[in-house]
Amino acid sequence: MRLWMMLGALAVAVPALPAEITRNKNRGRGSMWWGIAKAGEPNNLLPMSPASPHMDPAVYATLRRKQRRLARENPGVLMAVARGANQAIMECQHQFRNRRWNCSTKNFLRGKNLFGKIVDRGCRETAFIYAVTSAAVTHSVARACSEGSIQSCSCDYTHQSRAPSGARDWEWGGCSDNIGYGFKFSREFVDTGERGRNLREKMNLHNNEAGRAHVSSEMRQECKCHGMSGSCTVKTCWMRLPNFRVVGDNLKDRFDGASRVMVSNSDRVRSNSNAIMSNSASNSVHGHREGLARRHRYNFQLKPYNPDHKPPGLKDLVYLEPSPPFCDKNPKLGILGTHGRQCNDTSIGVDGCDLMCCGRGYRTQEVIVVERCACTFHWCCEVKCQLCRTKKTIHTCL
Amino acid sequence: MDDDIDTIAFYDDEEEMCENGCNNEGYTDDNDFEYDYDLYSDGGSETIPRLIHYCLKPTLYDAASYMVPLLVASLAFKIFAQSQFTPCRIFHGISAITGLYVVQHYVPECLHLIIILIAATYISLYIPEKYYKGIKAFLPSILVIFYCELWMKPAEWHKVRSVIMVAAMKAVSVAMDNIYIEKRPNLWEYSGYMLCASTCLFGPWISFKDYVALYHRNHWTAWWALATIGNLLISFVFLSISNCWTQWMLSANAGKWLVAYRDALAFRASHYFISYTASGILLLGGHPVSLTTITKPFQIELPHSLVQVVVCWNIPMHFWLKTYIFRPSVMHLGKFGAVIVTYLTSSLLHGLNFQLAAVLLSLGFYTYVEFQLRSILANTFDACIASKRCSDRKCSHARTVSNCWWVTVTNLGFSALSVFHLAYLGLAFDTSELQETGYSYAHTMDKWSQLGFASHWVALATYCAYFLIR
Repeated sequence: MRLWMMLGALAVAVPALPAEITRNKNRGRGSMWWGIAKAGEPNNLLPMSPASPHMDPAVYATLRRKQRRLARENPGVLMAVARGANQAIMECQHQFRNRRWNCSTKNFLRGKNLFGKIVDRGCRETAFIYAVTSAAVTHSVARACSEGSIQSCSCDYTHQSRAPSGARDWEWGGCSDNIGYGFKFSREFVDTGERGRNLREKMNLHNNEAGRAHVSSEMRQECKCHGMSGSCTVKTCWMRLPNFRVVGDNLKDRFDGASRVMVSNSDRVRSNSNAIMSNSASNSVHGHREGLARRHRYNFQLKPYNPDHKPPGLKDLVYLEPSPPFCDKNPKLGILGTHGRQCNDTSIGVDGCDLMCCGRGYRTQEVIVVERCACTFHWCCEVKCQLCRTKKTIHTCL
Repeated sequence: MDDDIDTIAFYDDEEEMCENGCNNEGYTDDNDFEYDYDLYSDGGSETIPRLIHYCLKPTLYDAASYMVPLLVASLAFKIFAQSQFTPCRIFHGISAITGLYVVQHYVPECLHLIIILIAATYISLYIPEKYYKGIKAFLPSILVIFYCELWMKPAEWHKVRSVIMVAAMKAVSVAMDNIYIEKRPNLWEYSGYMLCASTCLFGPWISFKDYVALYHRNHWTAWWALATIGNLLISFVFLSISNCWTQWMLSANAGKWLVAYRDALAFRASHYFISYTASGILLLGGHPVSLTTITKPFQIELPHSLVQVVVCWNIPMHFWLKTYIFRPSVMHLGKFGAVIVTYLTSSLLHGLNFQLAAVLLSLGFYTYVEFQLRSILANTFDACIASKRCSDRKCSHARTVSNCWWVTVTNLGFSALSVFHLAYLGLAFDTSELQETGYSYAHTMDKWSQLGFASHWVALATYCAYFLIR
């Protein structure tokens, strides 16, 4: 019965496809760089010389011309991008480990999209992929700047000038993550293919921006007072450790509350989209291309599909069409289906066997798992573990 | 836009190529996909570099650059004031000038207050003794503290409190000495003592006698340099513990008592940082090594008793309280009264802050109960379980750590109780917004009610036990 319903759903979905395919050339063009994550060890990607002779040709082929130019002009940046891409994949797979769609990636590159054809659809999952990859590149590049592994950027010193009141404010000459550079670079690199000419490109742009906004709002500074008996004579500050996991968690929340959008008639100017840029832009990604046209492409406002909902904000994820069913294998959409996936027989959530297996039922088997156990800490700083064999009951979907 | 056109051409080609080449086989083969479950790790290996990058480096860099002017001023005091060729008045003059520079540089808010305090207390030294004795010696200092408490901005007062506190302690000690010993310093000596560069910012209190002894105390040794650097290094280790390592060791969801212990540990480490910095600066300013033990971290982290913690927390301050408050008042008020007066004075010096007063008075009550209970137990069982550690050779008790196992167990039990009390009392000093303005009544109560006022109940139970067996 369910199967028939599913086929029905597919039959409804299929007529929409030809129209998509006509635009397919524009699709995914800005997202081919994701493949960089799978292109061998990051070490191979770090070009020591400005021209990048060491770059794996397979990787190089996935980049657009402009992206290649960015990589050439900013030596060392590709390694940061690759690290970011890997981070994004890990985060995506962590966030979606218990869902029917589990953010699977292709094992190797054949010039096709890393996350598979799901990206061709403008659904929630795609929105998350775009946001998390853009966020990860911002995060990773910002950090690489302060580590000094990108030649064209350095630490962010703008924290020094933030002294709103009085002389007692923290002034730090130290090196903090160059979120301004990461933000700019991500816009240049990640948003290359998306010119915002059609709705899908606007969706991608919006989600990329959302990912970046989540990263830049997570950077914070924390302070502690020191002084005789609890007074505050000395104040020392540091940057709060920005964990990409927090960004991932926030994005997952936005995924759950993503808004469906449609074309808006008026291209209103979004007030706060450039606000993040303005406060710290110490190093420019590249000098000669800071045209007004470029900035203009972020000035659009998407309209909610349901007119009663409020328009999506800067940090919200947006999507265009409902997600396809992820239950059964669908090669056309690159969906693997949930056959053979593990599930939790006691959970009533999406990871529970009922929902995960889409009512097909599941198989229960006992397996012997080798795990690390009885870990002890040895001074200093090593954790030694034993290998234990334990019996585990696992449930897999039929 | 020219290269965008190129790009499109390039990409369209590739798109074509791929449409033919890899479309069909792309998604038919399951092996094409991998589930990167085990790829994900918690980033454990990355935490330490991240900690270094985000916390240790900024913290230490920040603190070091903060210290530089103070270190320079102290060193200048040692070089110029304590040289063999400096006349006595110049010595005190240099001391006052370097001190004024330090105050002006670090806490300009209270420069005028310090000067007023010095002037007022100095004038009061010349008031005939029959109008001015006993508790009246405190009046100028208390008035200044009241003024700060009531009319200064909370953030400013909280910042300069320790400076005023040290100055007030110095003023009171001179006034009391003046009454009992009849030796009055001249204005040079007095302002030099009150403003001395190496003690005016972080303290500790040093006696007037020790200050005067610095004159012509000109010695430079390698050992002195090593001890100075060592103290400063230790202070930085404690700073890194306070800011970074405690947060790294225990995350916020580790259980409320562990978090309480962590926050209290961060507060204590912050105190050790300040104390060791003060020691280093004392040494740099030419003070003798015997003066520079301010705190004993090990005695506090692994306490024998709460009494020991209170004694070792700030040794110069303890000495000051004992000499100028406890001993004079014990004659009039008895032991319990003297303890309470001592803790009241201490909280008055710390400003009229509810949290500090609550913590200090709790400590006063706890230490009194602990001391009494343990001395009764020690006498009854004739065992070394009193609050003061028995020295090994001449212990008056029959049962000692070496010949009786339950003496060790009891002492360990009391140690654990002390650690528990310290975690509870210290956790209120957290890194919330209030740290800059002083913690409020609501904040303290909120923190403690989260733990169910457990420590106060335990202390009350201990008191009941003491009351019953008394």
